[in-house]
Amino acid sequence: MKQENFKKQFKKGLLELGILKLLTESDHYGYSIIKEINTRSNNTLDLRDGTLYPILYRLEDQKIIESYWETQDGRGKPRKYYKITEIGKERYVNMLEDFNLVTGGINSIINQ
Amino acid sequence: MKYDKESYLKEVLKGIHTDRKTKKRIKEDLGIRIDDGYKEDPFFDLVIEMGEPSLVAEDFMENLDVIYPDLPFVIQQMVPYEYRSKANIFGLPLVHIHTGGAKNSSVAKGVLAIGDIAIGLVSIGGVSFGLISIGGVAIGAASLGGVAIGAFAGGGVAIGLYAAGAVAISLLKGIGAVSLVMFK
Repeated sequence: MKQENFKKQFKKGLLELGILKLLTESDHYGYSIIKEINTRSNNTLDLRDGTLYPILYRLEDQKIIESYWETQDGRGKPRKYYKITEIGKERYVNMLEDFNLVTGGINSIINQ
Repeated sequence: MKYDKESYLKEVLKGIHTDRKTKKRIKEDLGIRIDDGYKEDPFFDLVIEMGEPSLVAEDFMENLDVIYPDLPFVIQQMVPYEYRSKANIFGLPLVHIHTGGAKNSSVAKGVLAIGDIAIGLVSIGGVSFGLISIGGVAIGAASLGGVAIGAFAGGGVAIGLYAAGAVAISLLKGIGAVSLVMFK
Protein backbone atom coordinates (compact mmCIF):
# COMPACT_ATOMS: atom_id res chain seq x y z
CA MET A 1 0.00 0.00 0.00
CA LYS A 2 1.34 3.40 -0.97
CA GLN A 3 2.03 5.96 1.75
CA GLU A 4 -0.81 8.19 0.54
CA ASN A 5 -3.30 5.30 0.51
CA PHE A 6 -2.30 4.25 4.00
CA LYS A 7 -2.88 7.78 5.27
CA LYS A 8 -6.28 7.99 3.54
CA GLN A 9 -7.55 4.69 4.89
CA PHE A 10 -6.23 5.41 8.35
CA LYS A 11 -7.81 8.86 8.37
CA LYS A 12 -11.15 7.63 7.07
CA GLY A 13 -11.57 5.20 9.94
CA LEU A 14 -10.58 7.68 12.58
CA LEU A 15 -12.66 10.57 11.25
CA GLU A 16 -15.83 8.71 12.14
CA LEU A 17 -14.66 8.62 15.74
CA GLY A 18 -13.77 12.33 15.67
CA ILE A 19 -17.15 13.30 14.21
CA LEU A 20 -19.03 11.23 16.78
CA LYS A 21 -16.99 12.84 19.56
CA LEU A 22 -18.07 16.30 18.36
CA LEU A 23 -21.69 15.22 18.22
CA THR A 24 -21.56 13.89 21.79
CA GLU A 25 -20.70 17.45 22.84
CA SER A 26 -23.38 19.26 20.82
CA ASP A 27 -25.38 19.15 17.60
CA HIS A 28 -23.52 20.40 14.54
CA TYR A 29 -24.16 21.29 10.92
CA GLY A 30 -21.82 20.19 8.12
CA TYR A 31 -19.67 23.28 7.85
CA SER A 32 -19.25 23.54 11.62
CA ILE A 33 -18.02 19.92 11.74
CA ILE A 34 -15.41 20.69 9.08
CA LYS A 35 -14.23 23.79 10.96
CA GLU A 36 -14.14 22.07 14.36
CA ILE A 37 -12.28 19.00 13.13
CA ASN A 38 -9.73 21.08 11.23
CA THR A 39 -9.21 23.55 14.09
CA ARG A 40 -8.91 20.90 16.80
CA SER A 41 -6.54 18.79 14.70
CA ASN A 42 -4.43 21.86 13.77
CA ASN A 43 -5.44 21.16 10.16
CA THR A 44 -3.57 17.86 10.15
CA LEU A 45 -6.74 15.94 9.27
CA ASP A 46 -7.72 18.46 6.54
CA LEU A 47 -11.35 17.34 6.47
CA ARG A 48 -13.08 18.13 3.16
CA ASP A 49 -16.71 18.08 2.04
CA GLY A 50 -16.22 15.05 -0.17
CA THR A 51 -15.00 13.09 2.82
CA LEU A 52 -17.38 14.44 5.46
CA TYR A 53 -20.75 14.05 3.78
CA PRO A 54 -20.38 10.39 2.75
CA ILE A 55 -19.45 9.60 6.38
CA LEU A 56 -22.50 11.52 7.61
CA TYR A 57 -24.75 9.68 5.12
CA ARG A 58 -23.40 6.33 6.25
CA LEU A 59 -23.85 7.17 9.93
CA GLU A 60 -27.36 8.48 9.30
CA ASP A 61 -28.36 5.40 7.29
CA GLN A 62 -27.11 3.24 10.17
CA LYS A 63 -29.17 5.35 12.61
CA ILE A 64 -26.04 6.33 14.52
CA ILE A 65 -26.85 9.98 13.92
CA GLU A 66 -29.96 11.79 12.77
CA SER A 67 -30.55 15.11 11.10
CA TYR A 68 -33.08 17.85 11.58
CA TRP A 69 -33.66 21.27 10.08
CA GLU A 70 -33.48 24.44 12.10
CA THR A 71 -33.71 28.09 11.17
CA GLN A 72 -31.42 30.36 13.13
CA ASP A 73 -32.40 33.91 14.11
CA GLY A 74 -31.58 36.37 11.38
CA ARG A 75 -30.97 33.64 8.85
CA GLY A 76 -33.64 32.95 6.28
CA LYS A 77 -32.64 29.51 5.13
CA PRO A 78 -32.80 26.55 7.48
CA ARG A 79 -29.69 24.55 8.25
CA LYS A 80 -29.42 20.80 8.52
CA TYR A 81 -28.11 19.83 11.96
CA TYR A 82 -26.83 16.42 12.96
CA LYS A 83 -27.30 14.87 16.39
CA ILE A 84 -26.08 11.61 17.83
CA THR A 85 -28.69 8.95 18.68
CA GLU A 86 -28.67 6.55 21.64
CA ILE A 87 -27.35 3.83 19.31
CA GLY A 88 -24.66 6.30 18.25
CA LYS A 89 -23.61 7.03 21.81
CA GLU A 90 -23.11 3.31 22.43
CA ARG A 91 -21.22 2.99 19.17
CA TYR A 92 -18.98 5.90 20.14
CA VAL A 93 -18.09 4.35 23.51
CA ASN A 94 -17.27 1.02 21.85
CA MET A 95 -15.23 2.69 19.13
CA LEU A 96 -13.30 4.71 21.67
CA GLU A 97 -12.50 1.58 23.67
CA ASP A 98 -11.30 -0.18 20.53
CA PHE A 99 -9.28 2.84 19.50
CA ASN A 100 -7.54 3.06 22.89
CA LEU A 101 -6.89 -0.65 22.89
CA VAL A 102 -5.39 -0.68 19.40
CA THR A 103 -3.36 2.53 19.70
CA GLY A 104 -2.11 1.35 23.13
CA GLY A 105 -0.96 -1.91 21.59
CA ILE A 106 0.68 -0.22 18.60
CA ASN A 107 2.39 2.32 20.86
CA SER A 108 3.79 -0.50 22.97
CA ILE A 109 5.24 -2.13 19.86
CA ILE A 110 6.72 1.09 18.51
CA ASN A 111 8.18 2.24 21.82
CA GLN A 112 9.81 -1.08 22.75
CA MET B 1 -12.31 29.41 -13.64
CA LYS B 2 -14.78 31.45 -11.59
CA TYR B 3 -17.91 29.69 -10.38
CA ASP B 4 -21.09 30.80 -8.73
CA LYS B 5 -22.99 28.47 -6.43
CA GLU B 6 -25.14 26.89 -9.14
CA SER B 7 -22.38 26.35 -11.70
CA TYR B 8 -20.09 24.96 -9.00
CA LEU B 9 -22.73 22.48 -7.82
CA LYS B 10 -23.45 21.47 -11.40
CA GLU B 11 -19.78 20.78 -12.07
CA VAL B 12 -19.38 18.74 -8.88
CA LEU B 13 -22.48 16.66 -9.55
CA LYS B 14 -21.35 16.00 -13.11
CA GLY B 15 -18.46 13.98 -11.69
CA ILE B 16 -20.49 12.03 -9.13
CA HIS B 17 -21.98 8.81 -10.45
CA THR B 18 -24.42 7.46 -7.95
CA ASP B 19 -28.17 7.08 -7.51
CA ARG B 20 -30.50 10.07 -7.78
CA LYS B 21 -31.38 10.09 -4.09
CA THR B 22 -27.74 10.44 -3.04
CA LYS B 23 -27.13 13.09 -5.71
CA LYS B 24 -30.08 15.07 -4.39
CA ARG B 25 -28.72 14.73 -0.86
CA ILE B 26 -25.28 15.95 -1.96
CA LYS B 27 -26.72 18.89 -3.89
CA GLU B 28 -28.77 19.95 -0.89
CA ASP B 29 -25.91 19.62 1.60
CA LEU B 30 -23.28 21.30 -0.55
CA GLY B 31 -25.74 24.09 -1.31
CA ILE B 32 -26.21 24.81 2.39
CA ARG B 33 -22.47 24.46 2.96
CA ILE B 34 -21.78 27.10 0.29
CA ASP B 35 -24.42 29.42 1.78
CA ASP B 36 -22.71 29.05 5.17
CA GLY B 37 -19.36 29.88 3.62
CA TYR B 38 -20.70 33.08 2.05
CA LYS B 39 -22.45 34.02 5.27
CA GLU B 40 -19.24 33.86 7.27
CA ASP B 41 -17.04 35.43 4.63
CA PRO B 42 -18.48 37.61 1.85
CA PHE B 43 -15.25 37.03 -0.12
CA PHE B 44 -15.60 33.27 0.21
CA ASP B 45 -13.89 31.67 -2.78
CA LEU B 46 -15.45 28.36 -3.72
CA VAL B 47 -12.38 26.85 -5.36
CA ILE B 48 -9.93 27.96 -2.66
CA GLU B 49 -12.15 26.88 0.21
CA MET B 50 -13.70 23.73 -1.19
CA GLY B 51 -11.42 22.74 -4.05
CA GLU B 52 -11.81 22.30 -7.80
CA PRO B 53 -15.21 20.72 -8.56
CA SER B 54 -13.60 17.71 -10.25
CA LEU B 55 -11.51 17.03 -7.13
CA VAL B 56 -14.52 17.41 -4.84
CA ALA B 57 -16.41 14.95 -7.04
CA GLU B 58 -13.45 12.55 -6.96
CA ASP B 59 -13.36 12.80 -3.18
CA PHE B 60 -17.08 11.99 -2.97
CA MET B 61 -16.72 9.03 -5.31
CA GLU B 62 -13.86 7.68 -3.23
CA ASN B 63 -15.88 7.90 -0.04
CA LEU B 64 -19.39 7.01 -1.13
CA ASP B 65 -20.43 3.39 -0.90
CA VAL B 66 -21.14 2.96 -4.57
CA ILE B 67 -21.24 -0.81 -4.52
CA TYR B 68 -24.75 -2.18 -4.40
CA PRO B 69 -24.79 -5.44 -2.41
CA ASP B 70 -28.19 -6.42 -3.79
CA LEU B 71 -26.87 -6.67 -7.35
CA PRO B 72 -24.90 -9.60 -8.80
CA PHE B 73 -21.12 -9.14 -8.77
CA VAL B 74 -20.81 -8.84 -12.55
CA ILE B 75 -23.36 -6.02 -12.58
CA GLN B 76 -21.58 -4.28 -9.68
CA GLN B 77 -18.49 -4.07 -11.85
CA MET B 78 -20.34 -1.99 -14.42
CA VAL B 79 -19.03 1.42 -13.63
CA PRO B 80 -20.16 4.69 -15.16
CA TYR B 81 -18.12 5.71 -18.17
CA GLU B 82 -18.04 8.68 -20.49
CA TYR B 83 -15.91 9.49 -23.51
CA ARG B 84 -16.46 12.52 -25.68
CA SER B 85 -14.21 13.06 -28.67
CA LYS B 86 -12.62 16.45 -29.08
CA ALA B 87 -13.71 16.61 -32.72
CA ASN B 88 -17.15 18.17 -33.18
CA ILE B 89 -19.47 18.35 -36.16
CA PHE B 90 -22.30 20.90 -35.98
CA GLY B 91 -21.79 21.22 -32.25
CA LEU B 92 -22.08 17.47 -31.68
CA PRO B 93 -19.09 15.34 -30.70
CA LEU B 94 -17.96 12.98 -33.41
CA VAL B 95 -18.05 10.17 -30.87
CA HIS B 96 -19.87 10.19 -27.54
CA ILE B 97 -19.92 7.12 -25.32
CA HIS B 98 -21.89 7.51 -22.11
CA THR B 99 -23.09 4.83 -19.75
CA GLY B 100 -24.38 5.29 -16.22
CA GLY B 101 -23.06 1.97 -14.93
CA ALA B 102 -24.99 -0.48 -12.79
CA LYS B 103 -27.84 1.69 -11.60
CA ASN B 104 -28.13 4.81 -13.71
CA SER B 105 -28.97 5.50 -17.31
CA SER B 106 -27.04 8.12 -19.20
CA VAL B 107 -27.68 9.74 -22.54
CA ALA B 108 -25.08 9.77 -25.31
CA LYS B 109 -25.46 12.37 -28.06
CA GLY B 110 -23.08 12.48 -30.98
CA VAL B 111 -22.51 11.70 -34.62
CA LEU B 112 -21.67 8.23 -33.36
CA ALA B 113 -23.48 7.78 -30.04
CA ILE B 114 -23.11 4.75 -27.81
CA GLY B 115 -24.89 4.63 -24.48
CA ASP B 116 -27.77 3.53 -22.33
CA ILE B 117 -29.83 5.95 -24.35
CA ALA B 118 -28.12 6.90 -27.61
CA ILE B 119 -29.08 9.71 -29.95
CA GLY B 120 -26.99 10.23 -33.06
CA LEU B 121 -26.48 9.86 -36.75
CA VAL B 122 -25.33 6.34 -35.93
CA SER B 123 -26.60 5.25 -32.55
CA ILE B 124 -26.01 2.11 -30.52
CA GLY B 125 -27.67 1.68 -27.17
CA GLY B 126 -30.27 0.21 -24.87
CA VAL B 127 -32.66 2.66 -26.47
CA SER B 128 -31.31 4.27 -29.62
CA PHE B 129 -32.51 6.98 -31.96
CA GLY B 130 -30.65 7.76 -35.18
CA LEU B 131 -30.36 7.60 -38.90
CA ILE B 132 -28.76 4.20 -38.42
CA SER B 133 -29.86 2.80 -35.12
CA ILE B 134 -28.96 -0.40 -33.28
CA GLY B 135 -30.27 -1.28 -29.86
CA GLY B 136 -32.66 -3.02 -27.51
CA VAL B 137 -35.25 -0.61 -28.79
CA ALA B 138 -34.03 1.03 -31.99
CA ILE B 139 -35.76 3.83 -33.80
CA GLY B 140 -34.28 5.23 -36.98
CA ALA B 141 -34.29 5.38 -40.76
CA ALA B 142 -32.48 2.04 -40.72
CA SER B 143 -32.92 0.25 -37.44
CA LEU B 144 -31.86 -3.07 -36.01
CA GLY B 145 -32.88 -4.26 -32.57
CA GLY B 146 -35.03 -6.26 -30.21
CA VAL B 147 -37.78 -3.88 -31.18
CA ALA B 148 -36.91 -1.94 -34.33
CA ILE B 149 -38.92 0.86 -35.82
CA GLY B 150 -37.84 2.58 -39.00
CA ALA B 151 -38.05 2.88 -42.76
CA PHE B 152 -35.91 -0.25 -42.91
CA ALA B 153 -36.37 -2.26 -39.74
CA GLY B 154 -34.94 -5.58 -38.67
CA GLY B 155 -35.24 -7.37 -35.37
CA GLY B 156 -37.32 -9.45 -33.00
CA VAL B 157 -40.24 -7.18 -33.62
CA ALA B 158 -39.70 -5.01 -36.70
CA ILE B 159 -42.01 -2.24 -37.74
CA GLY B 160 -41.32 -0.23 -40.88
CA LEU B 161 -41.82 0.48 -44.55
CA TYR B 162 -39.69 -2.61 -45.08
CA ALA B 163 -39.50 -4.93 -42.10
CA ALA B 164 -37.78 -8.22 -41.41
CA GLY B 165 -38.04 -10.06 -38.13
CA ALA B 166 -39.67 -12.74 -36.08
CA VAL B 167 -42.66 -10.48 -36.13
CA ALA B 168 -42.60 -8.06 -39.05
CA ILE B 169 -45.14 -5.34 -39.49
CA SER B 170 -44.58 -3.43 -42.69
CA LEU B 171 -46.23 -0.97 -45.00
CA LEU B 172 -44.64 -2.22 -48.22
CA LYS B 173 -42.77 -5.47 -47.72
CA GLY B 174 -42.25 -7.75 -44.78
CA ILE B 175 -40.33 -10.93 -44.14
CA GLY B 176 -40.85 -12.90 -40.96
CA ALA B 177 -42.32 -15.83 -39.11
CA VAL B 178 -45.29 -13.61 -38.59
CA SER B 179 -45.54 -11.01 -41.31
CA LEU B 180 -48.16 -8.37 -41.71
CA VAL B 181 -48.04 -6.15 -44.82
CA MET B 182 -50.40 -3.20 -44.84
CA PHE B 183 -50.27 -2.33 -48.56
CA LYS B 184 -49.59 -5.22 -50.88
